Amino acid sequence: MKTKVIFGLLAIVAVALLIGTSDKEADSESEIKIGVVTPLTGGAAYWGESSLVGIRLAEQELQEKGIPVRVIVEDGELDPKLALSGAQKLVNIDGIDAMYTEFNPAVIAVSSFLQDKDLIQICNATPVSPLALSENFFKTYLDYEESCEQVANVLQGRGHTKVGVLKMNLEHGDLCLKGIRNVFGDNVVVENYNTGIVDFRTPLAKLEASGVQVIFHAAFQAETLASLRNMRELGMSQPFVGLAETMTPGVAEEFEDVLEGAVVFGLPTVSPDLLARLNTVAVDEKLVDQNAAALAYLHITQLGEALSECKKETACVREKLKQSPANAGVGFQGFTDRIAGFDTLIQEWKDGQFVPVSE
Amino acid sequence: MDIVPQLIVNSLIAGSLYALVAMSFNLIFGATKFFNLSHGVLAAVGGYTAFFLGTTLGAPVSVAVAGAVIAAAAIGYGFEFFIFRPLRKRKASNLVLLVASLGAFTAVEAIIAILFTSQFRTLSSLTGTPGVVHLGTGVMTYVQVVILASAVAILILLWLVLTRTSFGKAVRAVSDDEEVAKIVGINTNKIIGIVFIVGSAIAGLAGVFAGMDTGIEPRMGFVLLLKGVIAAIVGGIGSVYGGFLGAFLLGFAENFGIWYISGEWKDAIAFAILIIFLLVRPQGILGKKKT
Repeated sequence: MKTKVIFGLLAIVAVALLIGTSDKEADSESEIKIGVVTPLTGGAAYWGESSLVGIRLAEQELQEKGIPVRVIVEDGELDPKLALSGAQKLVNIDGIDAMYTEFNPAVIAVSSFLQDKDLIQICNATPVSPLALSENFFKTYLDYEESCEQVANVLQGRGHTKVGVLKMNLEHGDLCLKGIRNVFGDNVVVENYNTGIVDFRTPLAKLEASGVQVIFHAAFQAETLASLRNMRELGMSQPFVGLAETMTPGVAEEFEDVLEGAVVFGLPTVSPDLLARLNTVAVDEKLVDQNAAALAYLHITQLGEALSECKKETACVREKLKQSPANAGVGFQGFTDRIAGFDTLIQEWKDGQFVPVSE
Repeated sequence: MDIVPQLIVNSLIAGSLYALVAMSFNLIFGATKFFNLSHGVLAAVGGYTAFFLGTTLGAPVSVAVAGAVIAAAAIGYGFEFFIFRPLRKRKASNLVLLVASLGAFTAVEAIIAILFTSQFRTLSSLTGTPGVVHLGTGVMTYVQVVILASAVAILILLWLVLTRTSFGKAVRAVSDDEEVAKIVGINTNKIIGIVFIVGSAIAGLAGVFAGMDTGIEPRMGFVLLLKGVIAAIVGGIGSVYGGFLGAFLLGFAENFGIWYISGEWKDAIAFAILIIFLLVRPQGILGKKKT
C-alpha cells in the first residue's frame, strides 16, 4: 500500500512537471527575443545608454499591444571582439529572433558572424558594406558621404575655400572626408587620429598653421568636446563643424564662446510627443542623445511588430520591414534598398542656439 | 604662424600629467617591486570625486580637489591593506600581485561607470573658462600652468622627503631590500602603507588635473597609466626622478613626432620609445644596471 502511494505521488509530480515544462516551452516559443549590441561603456556609451531608453519604451509599448517581446542587450563598447562575443551569446545561448547592432566596429564584426544565419539584422552605423553579406541585413543612420558633402556645400557657399579635418580612423571618417573632398577637392588638410584621443592641441595647431578656414570634426562626444576646448585654449576663431548629436544644450552653453559660425549636422529632430514618451522611461541622466533613443525605439518597434505578424518567419519579416511606413516622430522616410532614409538636418549657431541653416 | 612654441607648451602639459602618474607609480614600485596596475584607476577615482563634490554637490574647487586626493589615497591604501598586504604575507609572486591589481583596477572602473555612467564629462564647473598665459606664439591656460607647477613641486617635495627625512630613509631601505629593512627594525608594512597613501594621492591629483584639462570618463585611468608606466620605464623603473624625466621625454617625443607625421601615430611613438629603451637601455635613463 505504502509503495503504491509513493508511486502515485511520483506520477502526479511527474505529470505536473511535464505540464509545467510544456507551458514554459509554449511561452518561450511565442516570446519574441530581440538582441541588441550597443556600446554601454567607453567613449560612445552616451549613445548606447540613450538607445536603452528607446529600447525600453519600445518593449513597453509592444507588450501593451499584446506582443510578448523581450530585448536582450549586450555591451559591445567600440570593440569588435566584444561585440562579436556578445552577438554569439545572443544567438547561441539566448536564441534571439532578430538583431539590432549599433556602431561601425561592432556592425562589421557582428555582420560577418550573422551572414549565414537565418536572422534579420538592422545595423545602426555608417558603413553599407554589411548589406552585401546578407539580404536579411538593413542599415539605418545618416548617409555620411552625402551629409558631409551637403555641409561642405554650405561652407563653400559662405566663401570658405580651405577646410581642416580632424579625421577619426573609422569608416565614417573616410566617408565624410570623401564627401568634403567632393566639394573642396585638394583644399582639404587632414589630421588623422585614433579613437580615445582627447588631446588635439598639436593637430589643431598644425591645421591653423596650414591656414585652414574651417575645422571639420565629425566625431563622438568626447572627441568633439576636447577639440572645442582645445580650440578655445589656442584662441582659434575658425568656424567649427561637428555632429549635432554631440551638441547637447549643456555643451552648447559651455562652448558658446567658440561656436561663432559653427555648423552641425545630424538626424532630424525628434518629435516632442516621442520625446515626452521617451522621458517617461528615462532614468537619471541617461537620455543624452535623443536620436539614439528614437532610432532604437523605431527599429525595435518595427522588428517586434514584424516578427509578431510573421510568426518569426524571416522572409516575411524582411518584406514587412521593407514596407515599413514613414515615421514623422523620428524623421524616418522608409527603407530603400534596405537603407533607411533620413533628411540630413544642417544647423548653424545663431543668437545662442542652433537653428536650421537658411541657405 | 610659428608652431614650435605651442608644441613646446603642448609637450610640457602632456609631460606634467604623465610625470604625476610616473612619479607616483615609481614611488610605489620602488617599495613593493610589483607592477601595480590598480594605480591607474585612482586617477579616475580622483577625477570623479572632484566631479561629484564640485559639480554635483557644488563644493568649492579647493574642497573638491582635497576630497579627490583624500578619496584616491584612501582607496589606494585600501588596495594595499585588503589585497596586496595579505598576498605579500602569503609570499605571493609579483605576477599574482599584478593580476590582483588588474582585478582591483577593473572592479573600481566598473563601479565608477555604474555610479556615474560612461558618459564623457568635463570639470568645467570647477575651472570655469580658464584664462591663458601667452608664451611667444604659444598659449597655456592657468589650469595647465598649475598642472606643470604641481608636477615640479611634487618632484621637489618627494626629493626632500626621500633624502632629508627618516621616513625617506626608511622608504629607501625598503626599496633596497624589504627583508633587511625588517631585520633592522623598520615596520615595512607601515612604510609601504604610507607610500601607497602618498602615491595614490598623487595619482588622484593627476586624475583631477586631467579632468580639468580635458575631461573625465571611467576609462581615463587606463590611458594615464599606460603613458605613466612607459614614462616610468623610460626614466628608470622604481626611480621617482627618472619617472619625471621619462614623462617629459615622452611628452616632447609625442608632440614633436606628430608635428612631422600624422596624429594617429601618437601612441605608436610612445611605444616605439619604450621598445627602444627596453632594447638599448632597459634600466631607463636614471635606473641602475643590474649586476
